[in-house]
Amino acid sequence: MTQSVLAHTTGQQRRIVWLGLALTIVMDTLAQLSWKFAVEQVPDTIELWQSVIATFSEPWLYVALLLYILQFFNWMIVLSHADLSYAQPITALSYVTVSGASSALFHERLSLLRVVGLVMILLGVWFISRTSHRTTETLSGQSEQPEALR
Amino acid sequence: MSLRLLGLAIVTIAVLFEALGQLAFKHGAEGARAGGGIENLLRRLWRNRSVAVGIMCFAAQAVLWTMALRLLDVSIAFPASSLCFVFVAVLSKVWLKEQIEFERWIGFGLILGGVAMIGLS
Repeated sequence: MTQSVLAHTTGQQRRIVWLGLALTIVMDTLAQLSWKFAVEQVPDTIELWQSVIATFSEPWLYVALLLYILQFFNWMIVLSHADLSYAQPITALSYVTVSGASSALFHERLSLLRVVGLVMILLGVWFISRTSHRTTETLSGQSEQPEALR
Repeated sequence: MSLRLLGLAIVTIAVLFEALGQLAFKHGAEGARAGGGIENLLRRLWRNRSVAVGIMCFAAQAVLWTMALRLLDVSIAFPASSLCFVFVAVLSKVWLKEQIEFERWIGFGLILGGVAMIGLS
């Protein structure tokens, strides 16, 4: 019985971690794009320091800031359930989503070398996602190592 | 020392700050974890010293990064930022005692190479 309770908790932990990581990628990507939108609205004919001030009057910049604040809390929840060496490299997925979105929205070119780099990141994330999301003991002393040793 | 070397040194320190910031966040998240729901977690985070240290690390990293970009092209600075994955892997293993199994090392290596390639493209 104890075991089934533990298994339930473990499955739940894993779902929280995956949901949190998915949210991280979505929010990071949207924040990057909003930031870029904000900067795009500012004419590039003005001085650098003026363009920084002008960017602060763009609503898109505040969308980006809000997303980063939300992402901070989401990230704390992820880190309270998962290894840093599991969660942090997986966020490299946002390089892939940002590249994809900016080539679609801003018509930025994707060179072959870039595509190879993006595929390597995808592969790397796949390898990391196959490892257990938590290898350290929790504060209460219960191990959360999921589905035992795969 | 040439400006380029100085730039690379600053990038390395900036990336180290980024990794240390993540480590501090992790420490804060663990400390804020015990018991309670999300509201409790948020309240504890607000008062957590590690979280404050983490935020300061990120601020320092942003300043250093901006300085480095004045000395270096993005095409050099960006691939160097992939060093963050190395620092995170090593610090997680040494300080947080996380077990980095073989597959996870392969993942780190591929991501590191991938980011470096994007920078070179």
